[in-house]
Amino acid sequence: MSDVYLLAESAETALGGGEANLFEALRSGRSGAAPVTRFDASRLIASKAACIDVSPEERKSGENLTQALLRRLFPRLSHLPPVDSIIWAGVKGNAEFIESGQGITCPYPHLPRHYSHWIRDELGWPQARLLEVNAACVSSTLGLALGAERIASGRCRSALVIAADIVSRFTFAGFSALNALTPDTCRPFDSGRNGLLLGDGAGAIVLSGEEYARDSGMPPLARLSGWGMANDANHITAPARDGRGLVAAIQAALQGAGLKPDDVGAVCAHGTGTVYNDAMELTAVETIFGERRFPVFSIKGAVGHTLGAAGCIETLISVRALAERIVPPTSGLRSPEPRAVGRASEAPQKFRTGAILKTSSGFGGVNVALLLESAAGADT
Amino acid sequence: MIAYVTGAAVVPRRRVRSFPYLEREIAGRFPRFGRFDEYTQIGCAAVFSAAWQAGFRPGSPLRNVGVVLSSQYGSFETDEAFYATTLAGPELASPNLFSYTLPNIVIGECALQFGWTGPTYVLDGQGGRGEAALAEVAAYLKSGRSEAMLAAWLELRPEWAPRGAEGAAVIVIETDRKGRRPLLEMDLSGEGRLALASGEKIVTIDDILSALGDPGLAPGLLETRGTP
Repeated sequence: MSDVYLLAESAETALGGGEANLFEALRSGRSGAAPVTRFDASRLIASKAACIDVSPEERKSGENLTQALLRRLFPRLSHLPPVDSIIWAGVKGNAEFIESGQGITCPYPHLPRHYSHWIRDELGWPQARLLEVNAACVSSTLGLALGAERIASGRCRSALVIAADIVSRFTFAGFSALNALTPDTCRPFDSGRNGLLLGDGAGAIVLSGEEYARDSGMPPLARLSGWGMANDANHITAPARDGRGLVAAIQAALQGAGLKPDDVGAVCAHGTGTVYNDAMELTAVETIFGERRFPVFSIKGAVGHTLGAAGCIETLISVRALAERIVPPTSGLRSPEPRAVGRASEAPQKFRTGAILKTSSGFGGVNVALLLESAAGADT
Repeated sequence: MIAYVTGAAVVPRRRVRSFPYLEREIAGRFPRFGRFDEYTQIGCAAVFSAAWQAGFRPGSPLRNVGVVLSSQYGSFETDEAFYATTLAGPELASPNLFSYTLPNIVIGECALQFGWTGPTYVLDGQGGRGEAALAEVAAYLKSGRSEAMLAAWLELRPEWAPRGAEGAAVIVIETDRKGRRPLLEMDLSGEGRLALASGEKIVTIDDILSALGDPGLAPGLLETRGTP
């Protein structure tokens, strides 16, 4: 099995783009939550989201908002040698088409393959093989796992994992109908948490083996040393109370990386701010790590839940955290629930050694875990 | 490496309402079957049928079994139906329909019934029918990380979509035939290439269905619909 490296990244969120800028914004405790103006939410209990301002001039003719966000990612990718595979992991790319009521007069309805082809064309990488994955809110985390698997097994040299999702009337009304949106402030791991915040987001990560990394001339940002996925087999929208799927995914990632739980220095959690998700994650953390107190953080109170893009964005923040040996605060946290005390914090937290564990869970019972280590492998 | 096809099912869209297992087994086993959207009903009917043939039973202990599904349009029809419920006001959005506006939910419904905890996700349907899913499934089985995998194809095309096949096709592939006589033997040992044990090349789910030689599993049953 070949080593897998994270070689390049790009992101756009309500707190800005680029992993360094975004990390600093998160570290300073900023939040992108604001009243929604994109559509009328006045008849709903929730009214806030973390949206990105995109000027009309920025949107090219015939392109939607999702594409405008993706276009912002390209300058940080287009200088790279062509990748072997492009893995598209956006979840609701068709929402704008459906909302517009354009029907068959629209050039295409923005199926996953339309985005992957468009990205390939825009980046000028015509030989790249295309793969489009959908596993709800774990989609880009899963995309990273699938890309890593392909590189590690020698099936490809490099893969671009890329995703974008926006705050649409479609998703806002849907999550509102499920009573999943916070009516005030998203507070992951807080004893008073009451729902999630939706956010616009786009993220891209280039994974590579040693050969592509050498050809690109770029130093690896980190090593993706382990990955695992598992289904709860419990419920389509609610997580398993015992966290069994997430536990199995973490165990598989640890095994693949050859690491023990004590080798993990911090966890970038899914941390949606819903009562059940966060409780499940803390249960899984205690199952794997016992009573140990160490940094567990979520950025969704700051940038919102960006659906398919969340995994990419959170992974690149984890890469930065790994380099800085500090994790950003969990925005919105006031009073951590008992199991989050000593783990989640409203302030940045230092950690001295170890890998970072990135976890994601989503509708359909899906869970994915990634383990990130420094590229030199000297963390553990 | 030899693997075994232990179950297969084809459910054309037009037949799901009269599908033979539906009344006898599926509706009773899936308590909420009647509330599923059509995409999920067709997918569950096909998965249930193939899994039942392979010896899986609902309510069994958890097993490391996975499902990879190929679909181009995914839940698009359900997405449109959900959005229609919001047109008179977003506060009227259907929570039940929203839950099914993701193409992987159908897999989740099956996983929770059968206790499957392996990889479960959807890929686009580029290439031949189920080609992407079949390649993924073979890779998992070769790696030894799953004891059994289902490769599935599921497609419902919106009215405005170009004409194409609709329905579901599902194949169960296992590394242990559990003392039973498999439907087919597959050779997974080729690098990036699948074949029957007889040497015949396999690329799509259709190739397997055709090799089974069962008129009830003929790929041609997946009729066309949509704009010519």
